[in-house]
Amino acid sequence: MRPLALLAAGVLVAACDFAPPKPDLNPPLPPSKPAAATPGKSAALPGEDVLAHRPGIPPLGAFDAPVPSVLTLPTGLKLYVVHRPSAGLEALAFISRQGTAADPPGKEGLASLAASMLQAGSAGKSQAEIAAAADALGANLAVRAGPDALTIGLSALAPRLPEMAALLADVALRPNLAPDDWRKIQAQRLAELTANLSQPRVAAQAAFLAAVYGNGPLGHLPPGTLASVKGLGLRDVKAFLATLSPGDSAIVAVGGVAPDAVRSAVERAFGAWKGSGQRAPRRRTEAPPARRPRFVLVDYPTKPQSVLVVGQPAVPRSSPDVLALELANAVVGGSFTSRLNQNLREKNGYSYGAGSFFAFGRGPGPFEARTSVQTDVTGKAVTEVFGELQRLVAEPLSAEELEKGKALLAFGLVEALQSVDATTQAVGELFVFDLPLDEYRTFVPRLRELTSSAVQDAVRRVLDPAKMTLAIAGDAQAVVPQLSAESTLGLPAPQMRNAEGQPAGRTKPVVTAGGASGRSQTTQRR
Amino acid sequence: MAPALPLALLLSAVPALDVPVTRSQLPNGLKVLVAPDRTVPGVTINLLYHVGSKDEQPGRTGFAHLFEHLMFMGARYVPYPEFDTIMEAGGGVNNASTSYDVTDYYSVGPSNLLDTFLWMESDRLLTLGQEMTQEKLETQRKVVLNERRQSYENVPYGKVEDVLPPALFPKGNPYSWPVIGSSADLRAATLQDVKAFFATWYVPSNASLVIAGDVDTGQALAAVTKYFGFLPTRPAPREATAPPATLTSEKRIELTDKVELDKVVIAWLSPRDGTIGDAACDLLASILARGKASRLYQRLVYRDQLATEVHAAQETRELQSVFQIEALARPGVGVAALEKAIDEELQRLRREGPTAAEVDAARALIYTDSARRLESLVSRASYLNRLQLTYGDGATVTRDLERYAGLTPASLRETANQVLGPGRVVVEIRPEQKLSSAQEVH
Repeated sequence: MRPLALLAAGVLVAACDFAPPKPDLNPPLPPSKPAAATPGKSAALPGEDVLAHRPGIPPLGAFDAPVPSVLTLPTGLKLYVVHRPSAGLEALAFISRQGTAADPPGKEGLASLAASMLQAGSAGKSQAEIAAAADALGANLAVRAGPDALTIGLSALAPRLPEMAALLADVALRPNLAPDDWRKIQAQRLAELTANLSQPRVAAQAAFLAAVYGNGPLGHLPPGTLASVKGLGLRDVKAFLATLSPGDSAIVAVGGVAPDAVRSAVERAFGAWKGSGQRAPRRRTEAPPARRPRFVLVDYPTKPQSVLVVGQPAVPRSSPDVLALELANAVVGGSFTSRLNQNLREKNGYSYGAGSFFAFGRGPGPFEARTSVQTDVTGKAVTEVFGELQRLVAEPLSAEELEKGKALLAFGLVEALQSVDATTQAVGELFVFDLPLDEYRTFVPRLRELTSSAVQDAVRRVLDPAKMTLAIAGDAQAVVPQLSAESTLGLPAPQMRNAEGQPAGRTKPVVTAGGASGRSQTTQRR
Repeated sequence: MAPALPLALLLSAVPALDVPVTRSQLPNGLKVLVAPDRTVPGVTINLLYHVGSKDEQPGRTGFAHLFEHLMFMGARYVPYPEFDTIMEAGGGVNNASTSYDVTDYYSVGPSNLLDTFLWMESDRLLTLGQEMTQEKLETQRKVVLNERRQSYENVPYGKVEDVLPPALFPKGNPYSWPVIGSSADLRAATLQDVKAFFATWYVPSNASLVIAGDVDTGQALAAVTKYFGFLPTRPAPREATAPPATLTSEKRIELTDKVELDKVVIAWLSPRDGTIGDAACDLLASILARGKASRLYQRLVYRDQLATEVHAAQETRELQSVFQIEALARPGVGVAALEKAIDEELQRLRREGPTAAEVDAARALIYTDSARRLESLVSRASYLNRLQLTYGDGATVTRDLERYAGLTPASLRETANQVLGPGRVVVEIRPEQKLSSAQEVH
């Protein structure tokens, strides 16, 4: 399948109505391989008169993306509501602005483990009892720790809202935090991290983040490492959760329930919550190191593919360049016809797919280009990836690429705001990143104003391929000589990293490991 | 705990479940379903061809999926790579997928692209075979071999996908090889194979088209007639059949892989798509392993701490389905301990059946799953097309869900005894070499 994850990995990309109709789309299109040119074939096919004329693309009206209503309860807790009268479902989320980027050095994984402990029993009920209560509502309860926020969300049939709100409040505000549950959650996390050691995809990302951000706020994967998780205790989790406060949290509700009913259900469930009064720790704001390794490698002997990540720290979500950068990304790696995918998949046949994304956050999240390539063409593939990134910086986008990027981002917003769960996430980002309430409604007008030179200026302010880091998880013996042979890259010898991204030092490189894979009974084009 | 949710309440709460659909069929056999929704400024088309890996010839496994890739390599009026460039220039995106039973293609974008989508699909359905070249085949053969590497060979435990189908189904059965196929067969595919496959399977009478989104039904049907009505009538291909496979005893397969942890996969043959038994298996899978209240999660992951994770699924197929349980061990735990705990839970389920609360919760989850599948245009169109394949012209979401409404603890106990018995395949995967890399890392 198309690497949608790449598109969705950052903040919501996209917008709300459509590129203006193009003037040149309506004339009949001559077949570029006319029937007459094919020997021995009659020119008259059925329907030729129809097929020879490319359909016109009529103009579209604007899409009015939702603008949530916002209310602040006396405790400071914010309530964002989007009412969709025709929706049979209602989604509800509790969002608090404490995330994995606040994990102190040596305590990587803390926010994520706290999220797991919220699902290990609450309000005196066991883990199984809480989960069964959600199941009985038909609700998909999930807790997630991202770099900048902890999110607990669920959705179910709209009439279930009062029960959903009560359950959400139990999970968010009254976790049991029992020592026995903590031991189980910690052991399970260690097992998951062990399983991840055999996933080259995970190792490449861990090595990239550690190389680019060092011990900074964004230098680790959310689940932490075997060493950091072993060092954490229930006391750390309790201290973390005590810093959640109504003034730094919000409830988001999207769906078929009328705003008044949402308000009363949320007030009943959350109105009394005042927090512990403890101040949240100061946010970590260390800048990424100026000197970063250019090339890190995790050794997986005999693997048939190399997983590649090429990138660097970019800018925070608050940067005025975000929109221009999203547009540039749509063209270089955020679509099927993107330069990276066309080059690595269609032209060279090195890969099943290649793409890129920006992960904008409160901090300067990364820009990353990613692909998996056959082991024996790894060197050539890396040269092609850097070549495309250099071209992005060197040349402005063509007029066609600029318009394509705008059209894709505009419809991307329509798609991102279809389901109540996805809309809840999009609205949540307004809170997490302090964005204007009409962010999505003004998206397309802002998009339309972008010019090719404005995009190129933004790209040049933020991206510099000469300072990008290459992370590879693959067969070192096969890959290293290939990269030395690619002299135009000018890369140094690799720093060896283990499967958790840490310097491998003199220890023997990790060989491989395991992790449960989602099985798929279907096989897709992308 | 919430009271059980009757289907009638669900339907009154979720009017969207009763999706209004207009059905039609062109003289050449193409089935057409239009589901208008004026609340979203977009449109999707889902074009399903009733051909999957089950229809492949011996020595050509993986071909249906390779062919799916070739559908994007250009036809006469929309030559490569314009299918994608025209679409993305207008803000649309597309994808396709191949399963054991079907191949489906979707496009989604602003609603002003409807005619463009239909035009491009019609062109390739009429002319793709004539425009196919060896060069196009080689391009996508490379891509698919890389897909095989990325999704199976470079994924821990990925080789289970190769061994399970021939162990579950006898030689010659259409489900006895995996959808992705073997590398050798993918390398052996010829240009002649491509043209013959296209001529046989890609005909209007073997296809079903769903249009969903911001369209007027009459205008949409007129556009379909304009772009597909002239396609010649071609004989519908023969549908795959197979006598039901049976497993009378346990088959055990032992594998090694470059992994850290042991894993076990247990699979049974189970009732086919559209049956009550298939619905019962969905509920059993949910009761066994969906979410943190499920039996296998509580027992293996939480209480006994034998497993890192556990999954169960009814993999619904047209001729015969597969019920599967898989468990990934904790460090230091072997497959025997996992299997013992799983078997004890299965015995308890077969002996006592589930509780009424478990059945009600599993059913409530299925109902909201359905409501969620109807939310976005792409998944709604895909769901409607699959229902059409399963139930024919009487297909509705309600009819699909009614299969679940009458299920009880007693009937599920009976299904558990019928399906989850001793005739099964057990795949055990162990690390190639016992590394203590968990320690080595630090």
